[in-house]
Amino acid sequence: MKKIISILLMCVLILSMVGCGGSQDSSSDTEEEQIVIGLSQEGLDHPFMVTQREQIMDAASKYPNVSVIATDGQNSVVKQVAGIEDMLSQGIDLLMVQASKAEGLKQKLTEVHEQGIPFMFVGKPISGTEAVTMVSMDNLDLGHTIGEYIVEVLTDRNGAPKGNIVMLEGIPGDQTSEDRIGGAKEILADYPDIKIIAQVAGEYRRPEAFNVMQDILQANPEGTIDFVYACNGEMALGVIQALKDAGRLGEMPVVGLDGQKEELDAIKAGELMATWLYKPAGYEGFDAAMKILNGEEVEEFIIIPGQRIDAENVDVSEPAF
Amino acid sequence: MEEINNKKNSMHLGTYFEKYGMLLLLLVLFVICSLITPVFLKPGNLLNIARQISIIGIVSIGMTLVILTGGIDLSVGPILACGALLVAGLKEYGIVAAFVGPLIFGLCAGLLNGTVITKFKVQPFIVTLGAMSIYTGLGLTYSKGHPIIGTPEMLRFIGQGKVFGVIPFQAILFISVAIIIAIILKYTPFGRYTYAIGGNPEASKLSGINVDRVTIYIYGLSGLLAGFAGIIMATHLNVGEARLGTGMEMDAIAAAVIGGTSLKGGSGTIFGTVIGILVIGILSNLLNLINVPSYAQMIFKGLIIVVATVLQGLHDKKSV
Repeated sequence: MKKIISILLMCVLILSMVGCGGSQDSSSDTEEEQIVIGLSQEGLDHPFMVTQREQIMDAASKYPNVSVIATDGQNSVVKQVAGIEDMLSQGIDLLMVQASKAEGLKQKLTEVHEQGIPFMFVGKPISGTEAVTMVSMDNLDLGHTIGEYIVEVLTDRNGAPKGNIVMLEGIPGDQTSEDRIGGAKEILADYPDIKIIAQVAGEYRRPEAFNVMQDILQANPEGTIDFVYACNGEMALGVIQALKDAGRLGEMPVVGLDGQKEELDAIKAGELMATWLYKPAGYEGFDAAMKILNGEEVEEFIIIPGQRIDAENVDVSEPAF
Repeated sequence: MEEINNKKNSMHLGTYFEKYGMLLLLLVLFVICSLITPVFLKPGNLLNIARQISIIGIVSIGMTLVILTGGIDLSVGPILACGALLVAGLKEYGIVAAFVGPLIFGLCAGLLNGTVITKFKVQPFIVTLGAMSIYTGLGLTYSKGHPIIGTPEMLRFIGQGKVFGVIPFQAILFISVAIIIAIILKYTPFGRYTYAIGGNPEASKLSGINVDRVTIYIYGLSGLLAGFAGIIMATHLNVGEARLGTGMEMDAIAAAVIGGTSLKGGSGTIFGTVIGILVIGILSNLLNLINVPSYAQMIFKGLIIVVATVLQGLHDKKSV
């Protein structure tokens, strides 16, 4: 008897949960001429991705005939592919993809293309696919800018372009990280006296960055580090935390890249020297999507310009997310 | 005397529940899904689900074997990823190398896990936790952190092929593996030993079963199946990547547990695991189809696992 009750309970649970989910969907299929845009993101555990999704949803809410369905890959290619398949089953008119690596997705994206459904990248550009457009900032270009900034700062500090720098990359092999770090290194290659004494992976996350920075501080006593470049904001904040912890804050300039709210606060507090706004491309991406759906031409790569935030302009700047 | 009879009776009911309770749950889920969204029953969607569960399904079968012996294998994800890397990495050496390489790697990795667990008497959780890190590191080292693009043309049917133009070949592989392992479990001494070891290792030893050897083979089999799943994954996506298997061990354990396999070992079936993986697969598909936000999806999936285990606990208490 108990078993039957428990099975019944389980069914009720499922029904109620599914009921909750179902009610969210009720608005989507009221109109006949409904345009459905699918949004596939690699994950939703970073403010960048969350903001981007919110921007797209917000932009879409202004069009009564456009609905956006979204899946997130929970940082697994396999899940992202399954999410795309599930959206294809529902019938979408266009697919927006945000991923840092498309290798695992290429096969599926080619299928999407073959089915005649246009797809585009938003937030992070990935080349070598049939994507109609890529709407994003350009990480390599940002990397170059930061490389030049490092040279400038070191020249000011040491009288000549020389010094020891530490670089925190994101996830090894990730295109964003490769470009942001690689771009800076291309510039620095012309300055033999600027030495990269450590280049380590902080996985884009604050706790990891904190840990690796702690180790680096152990290995490099006071006065031996002239500059720290963390290739995203979360890591820059982790670096600052580690410096505070070791009582070495202010010993060296730290720069980040993203321009999230806490970074701006850190600039105001004098803890972070500068950051560059890396804006989620939700609004711009949605505009491009609407153009594609209306049959208009769009450029292959729509670049959103970056902007440096430092002590001079921090009070008048809006965070990227 | 009456007590014994009662026990027998409830045991019978327990097994009944284990087998058909989950089947009932699956049927209920199926009906609910088709009522909620008409898209669900489209043949294209059902075939999608079949494909989506095949790779993780094969891994789950290996996991079920390990759990039956009272162990756990956390290293299946990285083994799968290494297998996938090898398919792409060995393509210059011909298709035989690209196909056999991942299988040998998986088998050896698994046998090694089993050997350390039995010969040095270390907890399987710890050994495979370490192995998980080792194989992830090996994969990253081998690939230098980059994806290895391209798999042999002739092997791609494994991951991308469709029988009669519609049925994913992956699904056929999954069903075949399930049937073969189920037969082995049911009709061979090896299968009976697997249950015996999980049920009572001491008694098994005393009755002359070579517990160590069977355990090592079981882990070997789990590794082999993970390597095989890696081949499917690589040929499906046409790429090998060191982090392809991330989180897979948890899904595999969940499938086995939802399917009624007891983490204490000794009880569970392949049939149950297949039901378990179907429940997980259909659920994810449904939640995607009706656009449930992914955060809520995670809560929901977690709840299902816990509820299934609670139900199983009720049954365990009765039958002991």
